[in-house]
Amino acid sequence: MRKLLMVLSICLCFGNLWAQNRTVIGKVTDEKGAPIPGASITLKGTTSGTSAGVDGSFSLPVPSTVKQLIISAINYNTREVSIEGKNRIDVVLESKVEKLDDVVVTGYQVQRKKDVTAAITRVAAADIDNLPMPNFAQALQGRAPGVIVASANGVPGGSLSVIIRGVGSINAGTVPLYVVDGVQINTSTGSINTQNNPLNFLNTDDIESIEILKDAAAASIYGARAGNGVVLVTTKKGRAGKTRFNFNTFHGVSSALKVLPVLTTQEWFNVRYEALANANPTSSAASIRSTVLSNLGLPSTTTQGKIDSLPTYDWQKESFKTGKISQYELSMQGGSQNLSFYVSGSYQNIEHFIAPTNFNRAALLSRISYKINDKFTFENTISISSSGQNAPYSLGNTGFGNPAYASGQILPINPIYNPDGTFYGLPSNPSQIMVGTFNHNVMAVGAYAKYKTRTNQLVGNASLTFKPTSELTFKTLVGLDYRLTQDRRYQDPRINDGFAVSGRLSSQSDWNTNFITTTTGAYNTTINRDHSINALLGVEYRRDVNEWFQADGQGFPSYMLEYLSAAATPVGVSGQWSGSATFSQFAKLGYSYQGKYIFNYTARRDGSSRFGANKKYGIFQSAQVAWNVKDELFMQEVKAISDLKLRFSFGQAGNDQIGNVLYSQLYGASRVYGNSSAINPTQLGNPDLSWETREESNLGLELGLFKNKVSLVIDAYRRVNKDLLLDRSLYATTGFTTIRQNLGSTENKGLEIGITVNPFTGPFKWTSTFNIAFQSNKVLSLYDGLQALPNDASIRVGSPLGSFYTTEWAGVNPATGRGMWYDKDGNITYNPAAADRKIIGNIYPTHFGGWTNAFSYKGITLEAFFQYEYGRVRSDGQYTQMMRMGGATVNTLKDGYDARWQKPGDVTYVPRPFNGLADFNSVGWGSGTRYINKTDYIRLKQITLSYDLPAATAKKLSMESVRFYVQGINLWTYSKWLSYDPEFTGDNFGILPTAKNITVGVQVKL
Amino acid sequence: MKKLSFKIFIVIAAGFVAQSCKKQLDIPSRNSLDASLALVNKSGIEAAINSAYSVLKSERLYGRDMFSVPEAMADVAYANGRSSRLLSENRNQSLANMANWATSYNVINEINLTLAAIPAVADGSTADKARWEGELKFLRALYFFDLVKNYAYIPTFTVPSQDKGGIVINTVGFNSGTAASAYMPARASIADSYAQIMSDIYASVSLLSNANRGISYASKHAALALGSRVALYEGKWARADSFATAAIGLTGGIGSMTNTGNYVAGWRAATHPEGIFQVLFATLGENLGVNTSLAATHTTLSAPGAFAGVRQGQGDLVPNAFLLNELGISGFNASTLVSTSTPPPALTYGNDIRNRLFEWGVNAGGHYVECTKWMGKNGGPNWDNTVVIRWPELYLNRAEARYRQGLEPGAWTDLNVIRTARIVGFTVPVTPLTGQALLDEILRQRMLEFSFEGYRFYDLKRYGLAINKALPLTNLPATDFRLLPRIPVSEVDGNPNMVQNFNY
Repeated sequence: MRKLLMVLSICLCFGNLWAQNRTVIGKVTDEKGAPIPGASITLKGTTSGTSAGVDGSFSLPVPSTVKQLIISAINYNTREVSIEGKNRIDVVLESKVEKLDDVVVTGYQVQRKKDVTAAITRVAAADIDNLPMPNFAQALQGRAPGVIVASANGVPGGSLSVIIRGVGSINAGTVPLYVVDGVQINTSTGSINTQNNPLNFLNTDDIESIEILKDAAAASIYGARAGNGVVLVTTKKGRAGKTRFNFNTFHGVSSALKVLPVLTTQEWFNVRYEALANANPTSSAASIRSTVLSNLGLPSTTTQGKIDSLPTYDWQKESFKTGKISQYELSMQGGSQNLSFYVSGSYQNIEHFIAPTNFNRAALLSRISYKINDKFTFENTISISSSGQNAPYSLGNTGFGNPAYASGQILPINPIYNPDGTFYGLPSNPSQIMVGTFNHNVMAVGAYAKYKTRTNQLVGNASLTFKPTSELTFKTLVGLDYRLTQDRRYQDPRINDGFAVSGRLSSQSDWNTNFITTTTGAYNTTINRDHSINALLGVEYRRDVNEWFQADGQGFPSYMLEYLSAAATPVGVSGQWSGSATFSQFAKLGYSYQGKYIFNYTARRDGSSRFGANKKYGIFQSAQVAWNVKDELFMQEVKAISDLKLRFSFGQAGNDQIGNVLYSQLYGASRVYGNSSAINPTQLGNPDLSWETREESNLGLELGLFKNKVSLVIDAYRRVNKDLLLDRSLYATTGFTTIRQNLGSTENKGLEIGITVNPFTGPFKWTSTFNIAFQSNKVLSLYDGLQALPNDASIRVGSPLGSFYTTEWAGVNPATGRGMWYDKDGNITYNPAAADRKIIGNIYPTHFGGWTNAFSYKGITLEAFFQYEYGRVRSDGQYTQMMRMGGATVNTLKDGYDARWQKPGDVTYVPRPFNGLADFNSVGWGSGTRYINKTDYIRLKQITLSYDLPAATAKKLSMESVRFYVQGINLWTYSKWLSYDPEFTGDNFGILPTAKNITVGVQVKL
Repeated sequence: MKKLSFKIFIVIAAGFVAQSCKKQLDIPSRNSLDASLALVNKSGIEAAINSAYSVLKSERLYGRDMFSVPEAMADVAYANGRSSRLLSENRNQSLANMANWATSYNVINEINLTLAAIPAVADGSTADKARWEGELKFLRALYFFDLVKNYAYIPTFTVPSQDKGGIVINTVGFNSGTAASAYMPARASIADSYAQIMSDIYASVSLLSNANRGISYASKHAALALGSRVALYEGKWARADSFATAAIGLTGGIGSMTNTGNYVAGWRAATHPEGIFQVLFATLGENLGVNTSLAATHTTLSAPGAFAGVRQGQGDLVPNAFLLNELGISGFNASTLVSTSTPPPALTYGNDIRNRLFEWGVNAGGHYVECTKWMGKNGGPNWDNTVVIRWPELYLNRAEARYRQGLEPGAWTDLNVIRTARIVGFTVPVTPLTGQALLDEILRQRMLEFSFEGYRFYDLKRYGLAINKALPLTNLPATDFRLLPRIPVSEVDGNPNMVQNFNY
């Protein structure tokens, strides 16, 4: 084509000899001012023209009859430009890619945004650029209305809970379906050491867009797996044209958000004395004093002077250091008419501030698209990654070697190091005893224990597209999601947990092979200009298999020998296999009249190996309508409204997130006795086990005002989950505790609002995006008319899932210092009974969202992103343990110590110290709601300041663009949460706290 | 070309569709057996019986709780809070009791299912079937008995106004969700509960050979010994007497008494020579870990005399001053039990050889005198075999049974068998003890003989004796509701037939 133009232009030159009137010169550039070499300039109404040179400039003789030029280039929108009265024209072509925002990836299809009829949120590449996060789901936090993203803890590359539009299931999983370039990802994890999030395989900077299919109608085309919503990830593709390089690197540090002040040795002596004296009123002062001294490892003859001069060591300060962060990435993309490619390599390293926990990943992404001929296109995507993690010593339980749990509770009299710099209190040295319950030197554990996890992942697909006519497209995709997780968990013989057995090692391999193939046929046509019809038919098969084995050994001759062959004693071996398969057929039919009235219908039939012989197949359908009101004639005059669309959808989706063989009655073989294996019944079968079904109605409004300077999206929904996959309680006297059945229903209702304002379009730009979601949930019914689940009384008809159901803390009796609770009648009690419990608070927020502001002026951009969550409470395990106030031999919080009850009349929230932690004839110190606190917070999740070199300067450096940036994550938080950080899931027991990061980076495009 | 490509495409697509056959969606478990295939042959039954034994190893049963929890609740032990374990049990707090309900009923169901499957097993001989039934019925009796002694009053002492009955007795296994969902059991009376247990014991006595498969499995000897214990609890004194006599006189039985010379060595051996029935921990992989094994719970020592060495276990539950005094040990601080001096002061030991299993532990928040009955006897820490029934119980059961039948001379003889075997230089007093003094000495010998083996709490409960402790200060009368555990709330909720224990 280009050659033809060249020939034509040469001909034209000759033509000029007789037809010349004048010469028009000019330059063709893109929006950023970069030249577009090879752009074609054609005289309108003729085939004559020229093409732009390497600097984008052209010169073209124009006959007097020609009034307009047509400027076009690959990947740019064609423009017509008037040349009347002009001899020089400079043309800016808009890139077509920028217009990708106008299309939305939906299930198995790409649709114009205008034609979308369901609740879909799109997050584009620019929103999640250059974040120091291993996982794209983390980057979604606060950016998609109605999607709660919460890190389980601060482990880099660790688990995330992503909940779309609230939780509707009681015992089935709540994880959305992730589809990356057409491949459904297995989201189970295989590590025994740490959380190795399976979504870590992709560098977030390789993502073009993320679409979240929020309502059941949008998700319905994914059928039985879509009950918790669907997240579609599309990676970057190459564009034909000049080969472009993008190099990006950033470096920074991570550090603690908060340290919790604890007691000095002398303060602890006092509080321990009080706790023992209160619990043993008949004991003599000397006997109590001698017990406290024994707790501190001191002889009973110790003088007060000696006590006053005892040292205090700050274990928390020693454990909470800073970690380094770095990332390097290089990508290359380009292509010709028939071939396009995108290849990217990256390396990321994130250290947590509590050593040695870290995450590093090398990742490669390659996308190639080859147009074999007019009818066939072959595409191939391969993502390979290898991640290494030093696992924390404990992920959130009460391991004494876990610094996140122990460092604030080790008695402050214990030294950390010996004067020669070696670790104090190693178990091999009986003359150095760490006193107190926490008797492991956590710094030594961090240095010596080797908990390592490697995750190798390959996610790839190949597809062949066949387009026999312009209206008909067939596509077959074959995809693989393969993940190998290898763990090595070595308890070094020098640390407490390994010493007695001379070192202990567990080695594990877990691999997951998830194969998918999808074949679709799509037909699009327009009849009489007004009637657009599209139809899609497809079949899909997925088989997902997991296998693992583990071997344990102990007795290592040296700490330097840390593989199983050096183990003296094999302790155990185990391994399992588990697989599931689904086979599906699906169809979609869409109709649009003049783009104004849009109707879509989808249906999917799924068969799953997970369900009983009687209920293997299920059908899920949706119907969706939309009305582009702005396209109506009567709206044309309403200038203030630039866009207006109403949509309504109803859909069904299923949840199949249960174990693989729950339908069958089984005898397991995991027990042994007397060197022989044993079998025992492990589950009662249920041949009627079937899908949990979600049904949802969604009403949406999309409004643009003042030339879309203000845009607003509002969605309201009501969702009912029925036939819940519920563990029906059985009386233990049957030999079983539960059986999984389809019972009960829940309801979720919510409202989601997203507003974007960009009032300035000049050199100073400001874009503000705010979103908020309100959610409520309740259990509609259980079974047998039960008002509460027998094995979980917090699940009650009329109350939300995730509720706390317990007794209410009534504070401290000022007269006695005893903790009090309310009974069911509101009276004070010290021994609350089961009947005194009530619903108190919920672990899911009632409203949450985010707010982004981006300001830019002449290459300087400041972006600040706030994220917030309100209405959630959690039980604070770490705080609970750190508030023991001398009731056990652990250090305790300074705030609590200062506020503790000491004498009648003290009005305080901290009861009198009491050894054993339960006052006379009273329940324990942590009962009821005492440690259930609000996690409400507003957080400056991200702030980025960047500077782009002016295009001219960049050009002088032979670069397309250069950007410098500084970025902070979690720099500021507003919260009343009492322990390390409000952002976590679970019970906050010894989890690695979330970190704050600061990074600086540079990004260069060539 | 185009048409051909299209055809190829259609063939490929059709290929994927064809995979839809049902077979692809039928993926049975490869780690578990389908229930219909599990109990059809000899090897299946043997493996199912193994499972019924293996549950005894669990922490809730003879892995730890059966020994340590009743001891913490009784008047002989002190929970020092080193790892904050067993503190509330030691303080006799409400809801801090034995919790063997769910674990026991789970295995009872297995036993019921296996018993029902035995007759149809084609490759089992009549002798095999008799042994299977005998072993399973012994185990069922033991599991039911450990439930009833715990969750209900013991027939020899009840508080009628607070007596809510025995336990759920079910001898039919569940193998369908429908039947299990519909099951709403009621508690049998205490008498009916004991009747079922005794009927299983009678069956196993008649079905099993004297020593059967040895100490780690049920045998006629073990069934007779268990029978004497059950009868004693039930107050069927003559029966307790005759079962004990039969067990003592059984030829070709298991184990024998030790004496003052080899008593300590008996406790150090992997298999206790006095054992009649033990729970076997055959491999290191079966150990219960560094926190809650029997060894970890009771001692910090790795070997006798190693108080200056490296800490091994938690050493959470230690003997209190009362028990140490009764054992004839002195030289420790009776008010705090702890010593922070290095080395700790030397202890003085009396003539009762049983006190040699108590010595200073490692310095971990100070030294405590600890019980060393479990200290890695199988060749490593935390997987000691645990003995359920030992020979001395036969004599002490019979002594008590004889006393209660008015046969004091026989009781005196049996009592002295124990004292002779345990007290260095013991000579039988010329004047026998009689009346209450005789009974008191029998119970005292039970306390000393079986300290930290889980007997004391139930002896107090059987006789309605209060639990008095100086540390932590406790006075718990036998009428207090806390003596019986709460039946798990989930067992009572929604079941109108089920009665909760008093005051819960």
